[in-house]
Amino acid sequence: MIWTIVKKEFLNNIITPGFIVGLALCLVLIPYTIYTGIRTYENRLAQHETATKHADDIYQKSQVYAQVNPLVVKPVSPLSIFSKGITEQTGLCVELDRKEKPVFSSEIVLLNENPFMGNFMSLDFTAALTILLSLLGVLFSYDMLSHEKEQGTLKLSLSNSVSRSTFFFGKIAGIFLTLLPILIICFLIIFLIIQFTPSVRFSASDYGRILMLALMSLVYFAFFVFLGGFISSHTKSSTLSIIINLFIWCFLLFLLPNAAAYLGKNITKVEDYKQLAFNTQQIDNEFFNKRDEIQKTLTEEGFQFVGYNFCAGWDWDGGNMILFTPRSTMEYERRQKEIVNPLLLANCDRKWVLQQDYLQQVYRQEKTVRYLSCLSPAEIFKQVSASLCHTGMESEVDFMNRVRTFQDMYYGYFVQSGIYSSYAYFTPQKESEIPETIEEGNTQASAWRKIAKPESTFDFKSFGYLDTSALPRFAYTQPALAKDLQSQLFLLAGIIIVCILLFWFSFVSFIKYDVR
Amino acid sequence: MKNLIKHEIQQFLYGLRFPIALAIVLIMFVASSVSYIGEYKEVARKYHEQVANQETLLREEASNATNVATNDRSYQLSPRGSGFISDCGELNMPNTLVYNAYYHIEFDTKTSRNNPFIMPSSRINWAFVILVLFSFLAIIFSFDAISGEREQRTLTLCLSNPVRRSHILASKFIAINTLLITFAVTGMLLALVILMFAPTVQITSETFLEIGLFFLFGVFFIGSMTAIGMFSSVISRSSSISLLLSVSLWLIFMIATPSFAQTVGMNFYPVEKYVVMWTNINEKRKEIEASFPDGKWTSSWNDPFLPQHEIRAAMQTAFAKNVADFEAKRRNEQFRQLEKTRQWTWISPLAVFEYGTEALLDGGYLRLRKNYNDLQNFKIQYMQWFKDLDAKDDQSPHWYNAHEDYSTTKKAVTFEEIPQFTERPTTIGERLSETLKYLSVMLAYMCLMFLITVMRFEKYDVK
Repeated sequence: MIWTIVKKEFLNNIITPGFIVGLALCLVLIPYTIYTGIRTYENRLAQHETATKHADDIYQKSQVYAQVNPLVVKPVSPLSIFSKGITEQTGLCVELDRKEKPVFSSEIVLLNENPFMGNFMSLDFTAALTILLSLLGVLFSYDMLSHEKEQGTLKLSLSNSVSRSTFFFGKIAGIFLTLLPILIICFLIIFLIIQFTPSVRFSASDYGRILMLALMSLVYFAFFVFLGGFISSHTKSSTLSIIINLFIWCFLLFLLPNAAAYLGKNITKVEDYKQLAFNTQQIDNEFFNKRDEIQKTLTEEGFQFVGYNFCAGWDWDGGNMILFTPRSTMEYERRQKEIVNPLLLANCDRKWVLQQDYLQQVYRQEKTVRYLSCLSPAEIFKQVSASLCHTGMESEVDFMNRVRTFQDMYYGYFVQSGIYSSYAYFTPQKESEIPETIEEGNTQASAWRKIAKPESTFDFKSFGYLDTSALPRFAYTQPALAKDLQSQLFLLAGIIIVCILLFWFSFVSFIKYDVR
Repeated sequence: MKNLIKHEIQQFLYGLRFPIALAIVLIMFVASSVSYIGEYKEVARKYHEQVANQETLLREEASNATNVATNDRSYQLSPRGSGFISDCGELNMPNTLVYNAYYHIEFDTKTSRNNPFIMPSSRINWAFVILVLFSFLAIIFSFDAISGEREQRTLTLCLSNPVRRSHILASKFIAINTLLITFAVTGMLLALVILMFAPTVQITSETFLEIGLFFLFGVFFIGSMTAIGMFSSVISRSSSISLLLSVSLWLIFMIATPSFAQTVGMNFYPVEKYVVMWTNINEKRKEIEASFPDGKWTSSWNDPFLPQHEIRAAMQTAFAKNVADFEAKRRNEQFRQLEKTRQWTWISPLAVFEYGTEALLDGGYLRLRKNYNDLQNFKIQYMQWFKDLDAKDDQSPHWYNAHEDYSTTKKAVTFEEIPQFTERPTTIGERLSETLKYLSVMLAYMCLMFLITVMRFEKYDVK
């Protein structure tokens, strides 16, 4: 019997304008969002490739240790074509620097790099799905009972030997079955597009995540179906039911998320990033004063700076790569770097206290906004999807934490292995080759130019490259599905509980429904 | 006609739509005011902090006039007093200009960051409430204006009286708009009262003028959306179809149009990629470098008159000009892309409303662009000031170097002497001339939609 009701409901629904409009919107919006998602992903992939090559070059083509400041590149997940999450605000790379710990990643890759176009909303697959599934859920369920009552068919149906619970379950199952063709068509289109896009390849784990995304879509759809059913069982006319449903739909999807974010930002305030930059600059100024003192002391101690012959690049501890320069300057530089670099690292830690405080404020604000936004199922859906697609906040925070740990380890290695005290830190010349006087340096440089024939002023490749095999390297693996799900467990449990409650309330309402 | 309008309004007053809509409208307006008060205080505090920081930095740099000219200075746009009406999309745009006396001028997109872990959202202000909520309400109130009456069989009865079809339609149109405008007025008044109690928010006579014009814009916008709802109603035979059509149109205007327009803009008005621009800059830089003789990198801090400093100054300045030229070209492409893309979105009344509000309040992109243009003029005076200062110093070789302080005056200047860029206020007249363009488009939109609806209704089968 239940199958007959399911079939009838399904056949009734697929000929409704709601189904046709819903399907049409899906056919337009879903391929479009997948197309833009793929384009953004390809941009990110290209940027990732360039950055990775650059990161490798830093290790392979550096001539002195002062040049080896690693570039850490975040992996790009193909799942980002489904949910962009916070990828439009966070970058792809982190350039390590002993002077400062990274607060945020850099190199943000956007579909459109124009900063003035920020107000043109770029819809992703998940955002489109939140609108379409909720609208379909409402359209399929708003007249689930009220329409039958208006038509007088409810009395007829229930006068048969069918129980109210069977009738109710049949109706719900029919609605879910109606969604099936739309979902199948949408996913078929997605897979067809992806099949013809060689840059997008999913791993087995990615397919697991896509499946979870599909299941989450069903839970989200169920929320609006049960909500529609509940309202339908409490209203006497379908017009009234649809009006209430649409008010709630508009409120949950468009008003509440924006209001929650706005209120959340006002409840938990964050210091201006510019202020943080200003404060850290003040700490740097103190460092510069200390460094100047050190330079004076060095001169007093007998170290003599008589000028460079060749110096490529400049940093807070002096020249980056120095060549053909007299021994007295080289010894001055070596000693300066030996003293200044531990101070630089300590200065970096001092700044990190402020930066950490700023980051804590940022995290707290995000938490407030997230809790307030979770009043909307659409936001829960978006957050869980972002987490599943490696584009959520957890993924970024986890990556940045690991980068900072690596930075500590990396520059710690420089201190422990005495790199800052060595000539190799700033010159590719051996200690024995260092000239004693400026004139000797000039002779060396002329002789080198004749033999090496450099292409430009700063072409020193004839000196060869450093062996960096002993230097620590950064490796990152994205968190497993279980860990991502664990972080979203409360949200998932919350929306499922609300769905069960709504289902139960609508079921109870229908059992007591006055069919006359 | 008067009776018809009265009757329509009464119908709505007894329905469920009226209390729900009024409640949401009042909640949203109150929320917008309460949040704005807290936000404005914070934004104003941060702004003054930044101005003070900039002054501190400049005072430190003033010990060497060349540093004042070559180092970057920031100009942050001040918070607008009319932010409670609309933020004009400023949240998603840069709000700081960085420049020096030489060629450098850019928008700061690095330090002007919002919390990157929060997905972008809109500020709740009057424009948002009108744009999202009122457009939706206009549709909810109008979708069954005709189709609903047809379903209830009251339309035939109504038309059996000696009343013209256009009058019926007009009365419904006026009734819905009267109701929605009453909601808007109530909400705005309530929000205004709350704002007036906040000591930090300044409401001036100019603000009232802005509110008045914004309200007028809002009336035309609500009218346009009502006309769209009624249009859906006269082309459908049942209210469920007209509702579906109205909601679909609403979604297309609100969600799909800006999204599709962005794709159109990117493809039709492309902007050079950042990576490509820097590859070109570096290639050109190599050419510039090669064109200068040997010794160009030789320098001495103690000897400003070292002949190589002249070559170096010319080369560094050529480098700076090279970067600035490429960046300016790309920035003009970005401006063009935005302006052209905006034209594509004129099909949506929501977009027209947004642009009109921006023009009226002198905010958003228009304000940014105005300051960018003015800053370029200011930079000419700024450079001239530095040149005049340098000319007075006989210890300076007067070789202008855009990046270094080897060969121009190193004398100290007082902070008060340094030229300061200030934003030029836009007169109401200037704003109105821009606003009127959008206001006429909105008015035309409303009239056209209503006219089409009337024409369609004349042929409507009421049976």
